[in-house]
Amino acid sequence: MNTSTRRLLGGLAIAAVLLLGQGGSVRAADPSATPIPAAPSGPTGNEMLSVQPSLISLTAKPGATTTAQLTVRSAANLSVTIKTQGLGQALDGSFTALAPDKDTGAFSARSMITASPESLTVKPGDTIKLNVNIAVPANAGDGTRYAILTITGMPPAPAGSSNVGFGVELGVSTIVQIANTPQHKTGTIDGIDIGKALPGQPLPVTVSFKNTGDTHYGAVPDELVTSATLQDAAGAELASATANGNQLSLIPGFTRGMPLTMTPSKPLVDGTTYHIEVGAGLKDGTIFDRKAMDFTWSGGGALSPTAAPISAPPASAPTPATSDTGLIIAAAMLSAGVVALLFLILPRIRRRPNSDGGAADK
Amino acid sequence: MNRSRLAALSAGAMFLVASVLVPATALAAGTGSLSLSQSSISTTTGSTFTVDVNSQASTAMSGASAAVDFDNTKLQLIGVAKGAAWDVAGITWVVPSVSDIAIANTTGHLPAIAAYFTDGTSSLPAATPTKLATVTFFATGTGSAAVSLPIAGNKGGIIDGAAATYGSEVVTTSTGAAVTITAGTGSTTSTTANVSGSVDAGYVALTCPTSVAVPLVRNVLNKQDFTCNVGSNVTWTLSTQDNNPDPVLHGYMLDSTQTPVVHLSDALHVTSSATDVNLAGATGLQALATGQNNVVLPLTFVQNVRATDKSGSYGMSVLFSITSTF
Repeated sequence: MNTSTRRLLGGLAIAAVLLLGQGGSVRAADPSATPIPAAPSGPTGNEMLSVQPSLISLTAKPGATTTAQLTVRSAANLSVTIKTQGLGQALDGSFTALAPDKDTGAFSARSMITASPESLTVKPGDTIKLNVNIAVPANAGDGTRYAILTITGMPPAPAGSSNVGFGVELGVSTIVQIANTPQHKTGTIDGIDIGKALPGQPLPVTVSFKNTGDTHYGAVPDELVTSATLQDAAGAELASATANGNQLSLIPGFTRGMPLTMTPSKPLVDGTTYHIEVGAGLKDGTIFDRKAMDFTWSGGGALSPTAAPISAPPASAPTPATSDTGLIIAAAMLSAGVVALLFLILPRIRRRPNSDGGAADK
Repeated sequence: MNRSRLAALSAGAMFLVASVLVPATALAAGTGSLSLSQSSISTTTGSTFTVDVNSQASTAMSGASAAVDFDNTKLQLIGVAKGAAWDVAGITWVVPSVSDIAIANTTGHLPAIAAYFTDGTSSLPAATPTKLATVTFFATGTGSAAVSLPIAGNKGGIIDGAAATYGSEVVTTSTGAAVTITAGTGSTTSTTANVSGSVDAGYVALTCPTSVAVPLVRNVLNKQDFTCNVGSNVTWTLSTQDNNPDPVLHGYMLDSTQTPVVHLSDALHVTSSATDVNLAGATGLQALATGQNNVVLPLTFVQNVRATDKSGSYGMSVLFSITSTF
């Protein structure tokens, strides 16, 4: 394994250590825990339109239902409509609401969620309670589902000389983790894009990473880590970069461009071939995918990018992570078996047969 | 190695190998039964019900294991709880994993619930009904549905706990239950049980002008500044779009008083310090800014008006949308 590969893997390993250091204090909710707690105060009430909470996150077994309540406050005269839509994600990571005809992914919770009332009129000072009902089908499948509640306020039509009217919309993301199901965490690197750079300037690299699992990444403890190393034709490392943190969320079925800025230790030379390797994974050390690419530097940009083999395989790439407690039980059972065997065998080893041939164990 | 330790090893191995009882000896050591607490159950669709899995033997018991077969077209398994009678000091449990239950709901077969001692001496008393587990079902379809405890194929059974025959298989029979499900008023896809979660402490708020006047001067790149105030204690994305869904006219200021409707040649843009959003660039929301906590965002409408644009009274309704991210 060369230096660059070690660096690439090291970035992921360090991230794993950091995660372990955090103690995993934030985890998916315990299915036996108490229902949704009341939301604390937040907005002042002077905003044109506000909603609290801004996120609903549930763990629910197939067949379960629950109700959450949103508080909407207004400081303007607005006609308000509430819709449940699909949650989508753009390449830049921004969340978007998907209309039903575009919400065709397998991880949509749109059909599980209804809100009432669906429309209302508010005036300055009004506080409205919205009831959000979440019903998880019995055949919901594995993983986590996503939707967004949009609360759209439209003021009266512009008057006088005004010619552009404003509407305001608040989006409340909703996450429904299907309890007692594996949360599959997989992903693939779909592309490596090398941007333009002036001589001596940092090299912008965007790694397109697709979440092929059935749960999202980005929030603790599933923070995404993307690493890259740049090498010259001789394999000497010129630059490395890592992007990580809880700001790089990615919901299943979507692809996000992970931006990396690489600062080569020496300027790239026109007509010279370079090699870049990237890896994507989680802070816990899970490596989802690795890709490599060769390119020729010319005129401040990458020419003829071609896929290339990875310099060396990971020494101990962890297996894809799941929440399969069956494995835990199996491990516990195996441990119990080992203990039982030790309990039974060790005394026989330590208590060798007596000289008369009889066993010491009575 | 004395007989009790040998028996314990046998019992441990039996449960460890396949989570089901595997007879390691031909020694018959009494008889036993696995049964459900009710032989006949009536319920309605959209309802949950529980049924206990009981074990009993003519001899003391050192372990018990039950598999559950059910009609998954009418029933869904919701959960399995350990029976208190077996949940004693020194016991080792095999309980269905989260994935086991999910798989069981697709196959109609739950492989194993088991409890057993490994010390070679402990046992539960003979001739005493002993609850091994409580299983919760949710009724999804009308009709008759059987719930059974299969024994054949080493799927379930009882292990002897008497000193002389410790670890031997108890000849076990089982009885199941017939479930009659009639139409109920509850949803067949939902139940009020087993939900947990949280609503975060965050909030999002947005304040923008209700309207502005964008100058429309020919041959000029017209601009109109305004601000939107984002109120939040979380990370967010502010996006924008033209409220007009018409794919042809989307993004353009219109004069709807003319027939046919006319529009300016160039689309209206919304710019922030880092982003220029062409409202005709997409039919849906386009990201304008991202941030965290309270931010006052200076924004600008930019509208080019060509010399060839028809005179008129042009207008548009623009939506600004803020979404918390996670």
